[in-house]
Amino acid sequence: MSMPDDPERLADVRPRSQLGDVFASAARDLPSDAQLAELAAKLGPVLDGPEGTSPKPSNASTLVKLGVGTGALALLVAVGLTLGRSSQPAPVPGTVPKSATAPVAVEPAPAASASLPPQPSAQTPEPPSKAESAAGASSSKAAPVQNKPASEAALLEQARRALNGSPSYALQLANQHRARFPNGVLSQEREVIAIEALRRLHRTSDADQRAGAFSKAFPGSAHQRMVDEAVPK
Amino acid sequence: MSDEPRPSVRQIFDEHARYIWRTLRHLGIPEAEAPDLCQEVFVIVHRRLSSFEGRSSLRTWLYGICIRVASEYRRRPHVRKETPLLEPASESEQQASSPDSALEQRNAVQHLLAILDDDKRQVVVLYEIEGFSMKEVAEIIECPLQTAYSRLHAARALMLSALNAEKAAQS
Repeated sequence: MSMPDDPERLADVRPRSQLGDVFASAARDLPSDAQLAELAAKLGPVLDGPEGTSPKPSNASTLVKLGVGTGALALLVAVGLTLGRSSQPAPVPGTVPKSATAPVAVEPAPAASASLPPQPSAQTPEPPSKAESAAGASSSKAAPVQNKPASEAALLEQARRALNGSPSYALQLANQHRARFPNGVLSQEREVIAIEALRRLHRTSDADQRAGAFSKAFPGSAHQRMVDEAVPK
Repeated sequence: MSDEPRPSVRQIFDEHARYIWRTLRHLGIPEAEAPDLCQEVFVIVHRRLSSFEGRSSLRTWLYGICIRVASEYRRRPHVRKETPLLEPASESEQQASSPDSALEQRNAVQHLLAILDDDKRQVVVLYEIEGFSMKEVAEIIECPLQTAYSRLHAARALMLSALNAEKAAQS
């Protein structure tokens, strides 16, 4: 807002000068919705966490602090899933590539996720079995289901970490993610985790069904290869 | 202290992020660096929001952070050596109905702003593009009001001169 003594803005002067035209066009130079969505994904814990604190010290939030975004989280999911396969040699993750900080395409998830099959309610999660709890003590002790992680990135990171020791807990968290972030930008990553969790729980038909829904909802997804590996045809 | 409830970081992001991004770009941050710098702004907002006392408006406070983040970036040694004026079309421009025109306009803006030093550039961006009053501009960049006026007049003269020189060269 201008004060009485302020000179008229050049974009408001009529007839408008060339300089006024330049400033008027500058005001239209805004980022796209996709760029903003990507930024929001990068900022996950910062946007949804309590103020005045550092982002939660989860791997995901550490990555955010380091400027690593959605692409890196996808990489994290991929590396985590691969590491979790006991039958395969585990690649040694090196440093996160610089390119992970570069903008990545964020695919709109809402319409796609709406077509996925219904899942058990995230409001009534089944607790992990004693065996799973014992096996996954190190991965699932971070937070019970009731302690909601602040962001979708943090929630999925928690689910990914739970995959090895407690796939049922990982599945609960993935379903909780779907309930809390139905339009989340990490919907594909969530589905990959859920499918892998179903496979490990030997719920083959459920895994097949969810994998089929994934392929229909996200044709050409970069995660399709991982889905195919989890649910061989 | 304002009686208005303090918005959350998410609310601030939803309302201001696109304008913070735009401001960073006009302050000389390259397109490729804008996401990281915007991220820096909101990390600072997250850290400091609880201590925001409402002595200034939230928007003024927010743009103060933005100005300082951009200034700090432009003081980095590797940045000072670079003079990136013209850039390829961004994603949003490629989707625009006339991308060539959008690109030309953006390059014209960046080209003109690039002839200004940081002090004048900040005043022009905040006043001419972001619509702050000159009093708010002076508050954001922490200088006397008369100094802000002087910078604005000097910046306008410089840019007008550059445009005229360009016209003369073309004719």
